[in-house]
Amino acid sequence: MSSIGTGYDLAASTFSPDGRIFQIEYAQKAVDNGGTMVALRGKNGVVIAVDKVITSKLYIDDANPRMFNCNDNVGMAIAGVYPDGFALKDYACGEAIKWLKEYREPMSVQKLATSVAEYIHIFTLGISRPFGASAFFSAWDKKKGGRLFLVEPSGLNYEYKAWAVGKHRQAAKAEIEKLKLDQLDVQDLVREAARIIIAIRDENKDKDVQIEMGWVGENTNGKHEVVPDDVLSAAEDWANAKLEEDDMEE
Amino acid sequence: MDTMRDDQKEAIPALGFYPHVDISTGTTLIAMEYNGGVVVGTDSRTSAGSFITSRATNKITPITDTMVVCRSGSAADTQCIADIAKYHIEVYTMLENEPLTIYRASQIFRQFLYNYRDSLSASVLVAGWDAKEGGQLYALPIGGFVTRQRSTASGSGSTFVQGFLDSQWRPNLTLNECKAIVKQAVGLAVFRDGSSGGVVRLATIDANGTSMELYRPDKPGFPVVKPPSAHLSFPPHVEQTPV
Amino acid sequence: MMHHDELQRTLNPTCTGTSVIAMQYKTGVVVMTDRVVSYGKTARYKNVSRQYKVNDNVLVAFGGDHADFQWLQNVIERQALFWKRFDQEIGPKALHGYLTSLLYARRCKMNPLWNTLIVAGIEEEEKNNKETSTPFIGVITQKGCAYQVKHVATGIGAMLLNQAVEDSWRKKGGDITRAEAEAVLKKALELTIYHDCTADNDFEIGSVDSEDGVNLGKEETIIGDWSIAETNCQYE
Repeated sequence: MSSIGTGYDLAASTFSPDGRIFQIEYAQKAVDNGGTMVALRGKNGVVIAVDKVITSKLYIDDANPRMFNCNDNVGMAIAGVYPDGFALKDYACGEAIKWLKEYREPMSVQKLATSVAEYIHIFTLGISRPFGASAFFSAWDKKKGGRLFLVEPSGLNYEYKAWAVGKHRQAAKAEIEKLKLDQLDVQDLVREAARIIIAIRDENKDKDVQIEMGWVGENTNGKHEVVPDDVLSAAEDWANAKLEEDDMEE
Repeated sequence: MDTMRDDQKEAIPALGFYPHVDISTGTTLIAMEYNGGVVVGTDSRTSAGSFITSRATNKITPITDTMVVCRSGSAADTQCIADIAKYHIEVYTMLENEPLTIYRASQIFRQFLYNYRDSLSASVLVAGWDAKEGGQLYALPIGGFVTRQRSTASGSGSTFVQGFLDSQWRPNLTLNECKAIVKQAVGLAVFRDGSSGGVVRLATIDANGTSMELYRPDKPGFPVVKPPSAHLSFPPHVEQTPV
Repeated sequence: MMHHDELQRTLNPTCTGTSVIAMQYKTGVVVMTDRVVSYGKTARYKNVSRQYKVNDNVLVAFGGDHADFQWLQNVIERQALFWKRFDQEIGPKALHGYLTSLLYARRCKMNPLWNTLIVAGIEEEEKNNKETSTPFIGVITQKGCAYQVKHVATGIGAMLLNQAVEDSWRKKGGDITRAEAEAVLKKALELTIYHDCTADNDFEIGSVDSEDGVNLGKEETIIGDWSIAETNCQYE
């Protein structure tokens, strides 16, 4: 961010002379600084995991969840500034309900992601502050298999095999690339996601964190669900054991 | 906004007014000539509005040993006409000392239906056998028009089977073939027409007289109608019993 | 003017369903509907269900206009989805209240929904609690008149069956098993096919039980007893 302070970063309504919109880049920074979120598409489902930062010990258990349903079939995971992500989630749910009203079928994950992306894009036009949040959208059905989309603060919307955002995204992506994703089923994805998140934690800094996961696949009959506690803790146990084992080998 | 028609408004029993819905034989009547006679088939439902006042009605009324009339429209009107026409036919038979032809009988029915067309809601099929013409079938719709037919359907159920009947009749039908067609036609009509239902009654009239048959839904022989299998009732994403 | 009014009335219900019959038993509710769509008095479409599973605890059955219910089904589905946004499942009492307001508001706008609704279900909190478990049957008429009952018959069944159903209910002192309740419902359907032009032989019985929740019925057929037709049925 060498150009900080050149006067072109006060609003998203103005391009800098070299064609950048700083407000959007700063919004992206807000996502980049958040808890790492890993999304994996395997052979029969999609798993999204986040290392949620617990900012106070006074919160109740599972406060401020980042995994949601837009409808029964589409999962949404929000990364970055929490209220911004929550507003996007509300918008997405509203769109899903509107679609159901007009067409009497559930809105598809692709249409939802596109719709949210277009909505976010409006906030890059300078009328208002951009969203400091990104959103993953996940779904699975028999015909099309797993789908995974990420919508960014710029309004950018890509479909991925797997991706990571947040603090340790680079390390996470390096780990993801080692996986043979198309051979992993949903249970494997849960374990690997837990392993990656734990492996890339900064042991000194990432202390008050909690893993939260959402899954959708053949095992859930195409319904997106928050991964149950027992499955999650079993995956974490497996991941810790695996990481210890790897350390021993070194 | 007023939710009642004026005539309905007057039909409030608590105020001493009663509904005047016709009790009608909203009906399926099927008849077909064959080599040597004629077969008629009917359902057995009599209703007032959507209420079934009788589920086992006999709509085939014998006039002589070799002639029947099948009634549709207002039950009261057609019963009255059948009684009077029958009386007239009996009187003429005695006066002339020979059985009336079916054609003659159909003309007697016609006189009533035509002369009182503005006050009657009645339509009949006259079917029978005589020595001159053999098996015959005359259709007399509301208004008093008379027409002899090889095969016809009448009543509310007729609209559902007219095409089927048209496709089935051919020259030199045997009795059994004819009965099978008539029975199936009643079955098809009863399947779709809410005003028709109950049992199927068949009458065969030939040189030997009239014979009646009854086919009950709870006994073998009742006509079977099997429509194509269904698709789901609700939008596909909704949980529902698979079909 | 008169003409205009009549047109509106006759046009509204086109594709219709007839009676709904429902009854409580010890631990749940059974609901019966036939599976024909009538177009006037034509049996226009066969094998069409009139029971909608909202979630594991709630079942809605209807009589009246199918188009209106298709719209309502979507409204209910969206309402259920709306509740899920707050991690809640809509229960039978809440849905009954919601639909009552909806139907009443529509009739006040002189544009009623042409449906009689039966909301059957069990409250989540009362599930598996034998002491307080109270199966729910709520009725809503097209005028928005709503009430709760232990057993009910709607449509032509309201004139025909309520007494028969009530008698059977009282005979058991209200302590009725599921099989007994189903038997009463089937007897009631037999009466409707004898006396209702727009009733059909094909039917389904859905249920909501405090133990296993909503169970959608499978298609069944009833024939009835036609021995009466053997007797002399001439008018003379």
